[in-house]
Amino acid sequence: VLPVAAPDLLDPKSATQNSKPRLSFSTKPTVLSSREESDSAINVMKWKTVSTIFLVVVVYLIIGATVFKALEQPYETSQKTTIVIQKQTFVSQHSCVNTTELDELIQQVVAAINAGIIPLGNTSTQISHWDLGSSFFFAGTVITTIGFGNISPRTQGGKIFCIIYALLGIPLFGFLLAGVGDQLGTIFGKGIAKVEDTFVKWNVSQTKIRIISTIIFILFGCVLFVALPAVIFKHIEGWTTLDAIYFVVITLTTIGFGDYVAGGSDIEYVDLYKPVVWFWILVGLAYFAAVLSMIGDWLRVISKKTKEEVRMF
Amino acid sequence: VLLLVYVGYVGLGAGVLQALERPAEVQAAEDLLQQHWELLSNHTCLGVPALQRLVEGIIQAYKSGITLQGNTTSLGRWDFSGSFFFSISAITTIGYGNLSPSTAAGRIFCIVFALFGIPLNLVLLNEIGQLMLLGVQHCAHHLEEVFHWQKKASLLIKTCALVTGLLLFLLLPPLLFSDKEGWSYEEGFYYSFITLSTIGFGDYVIGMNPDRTYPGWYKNVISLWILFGMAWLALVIKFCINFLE
Repeated sequence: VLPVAAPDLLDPKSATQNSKPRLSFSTKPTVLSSREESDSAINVMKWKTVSTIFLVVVVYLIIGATVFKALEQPYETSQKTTIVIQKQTFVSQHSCVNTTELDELIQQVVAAINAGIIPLGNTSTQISHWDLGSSFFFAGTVITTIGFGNISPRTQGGKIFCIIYALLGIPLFGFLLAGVGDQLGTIFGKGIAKVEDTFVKWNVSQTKIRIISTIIFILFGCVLFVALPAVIFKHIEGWTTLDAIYFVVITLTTIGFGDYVAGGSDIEYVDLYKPVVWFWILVGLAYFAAVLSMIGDWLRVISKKTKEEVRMF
Repeated sequence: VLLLVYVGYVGLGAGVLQALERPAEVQAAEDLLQQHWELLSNHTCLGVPALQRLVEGIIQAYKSGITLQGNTTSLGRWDFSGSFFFSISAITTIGYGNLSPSTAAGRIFCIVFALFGIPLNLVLLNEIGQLMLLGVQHCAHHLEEVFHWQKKASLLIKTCALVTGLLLFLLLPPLLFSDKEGWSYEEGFYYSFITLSTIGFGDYVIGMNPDRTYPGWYKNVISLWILFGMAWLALVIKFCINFLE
C-alpha cells in the first residue's frame, strides 16, 4: 500500500510532537486496514465534540490573556516612564557624549527593546504589547508551541504562569488539533472520493489515482493555507512575497522565530485581523502536520528500500 | 545510522547557513561600526533629532543582532557553532529567533531545510523514545526476576524513570545554566521548560552573552540535552495520554 497517499499521523508524530494524540488523517475514503494501530487510533470526533473542545480552548485562551495582561502591563508602563526620563536627561546634557555614556545609553535602549518597547518619538502614545488582543495572540503562541518571542513575559509571575499555562494548554491544544485534523480529513476525503470516482470510470490505475489525490491534496492545501494567506500578509503587513511565505512556513511548522509576526508591527489593524490569523494558524497547523508526516513517510519508505537493497548484497 | 544522518543533516544546514549569512552579517557590522565612530567624532551637542537617529541606529543594529558595546562589534553569531545551534532550533521547531536568516537565500533554504528536517527530527525522537522505553522495561524485567515483585516493579520503575528524567532534564540543567550563563535558578528552569516544550521564545538563549567565555563542550552538551529531553518529554506525555485513556 502506498504510504504516500495517506498522510497518517501515527507513531512518529504522536510519540514526539508534544502530545498531539494519534491522528488518522487519511485522504483516501477507504480505511487503511493493513496497520492495526490505525484501527484502534481512529477517533473520528463528531462535530459537536470538536465545537465543545474549541469553545473550551477559546475560554482557556481568554483566561490566559487576562492573566498575562494583568501581570505584564504594569511593568511595561513603568518601563515607558523610565525611558522618557532617561531621554530627557540625555538631551539636557549638551556637552560632548563620551564613550562610556554612549554605552550606557545603548544598554538602556537595548533593555527597552528587550522589554518590547521601541523608544522612538513620544513613547506615551505607544501601542501596548499586552493589551487584550495581543495577550490573546500571545497565549495562542504558547499553547501551539509556536512561541514567536517578539513578546515574552518579563515579570517573574508572568514566567511562572507561562510555564503552568503551557503544561496544561499544550495537551489541550493537541486534542483540539486532532479534532480539527479529523474534520479536515473527512471533508477532504469526501471531496476526493468524488474525484476518484470519476477517475475510476476512466479506467485509471489505482496507483495513479493515489498519486493524483496526493498531488491534489498538496496543491489545494498550499493554495488555501500558504499562498492565499501569504498574499494577504503581503498586502496588510507590507512584507515581500518571500517574507510572507517564509512567515507562513515558519509559523505553521511551529518553529516561530518571531522575526516576522502577523499583527506585530505598529500598523493599524482591522479588529477582525488577529482572530482570523489565529483561526488560520489552527487549521493550517493541521494541514502542515499532515504534510510533515507525509514527508516522514516518504523518508521511512526510502530508508526501508535502501536497507533492503543493502541487504541484497 | 540514523544518528549519523541526523548529525550530518544538521551539520549541512549549519554549513550552508553560515555561508549564506556570514557575509551579510560582516557587512552590516562594518557599516554599523563606521556609523558609531562618525557619531562620536561629531560629538558637539547631540540634539533631539541626532538622538532619534542614534536610537534608530541602535534598534536597527539590535534587530540584525549585533551588540554595540565597547570598541568592537560582537560578531560570530553565524559561525559554525552558532549556525549549528540555529539548525537544531529550526528542526526541533524550538525556533528561538534571536538568530534568524536575514538574506533571501538564507530564508528560502531555511524553509526547505525545515520541511525535511522536522520529520527527520521527529523520527529520531521517536527512536530515542523507544530506546528509553526498552531500557525502562528491561530494568523492570530485571527487577522482577531479582526481587520477584511482579506488577509492583513496573510501576516503581516507571516512577523512577520519571523522577530521573525530571532531575536530568528539568531540575539539574538550570544549575549548569546558573554557572555558565549567570542566570538565576528560576530563569534557568524557565529556559529549560520553554526549550523542551519547543515553544522557544528566544528571550533566553544559551551561549549568547558576549561577556562570557564558554567551554568547547558546552553547546554540544546542550544540544544533546535538548534531544534527549524532548524524547523523554514526549514519552511522558504519551504515557499520560495512555493513562487517561
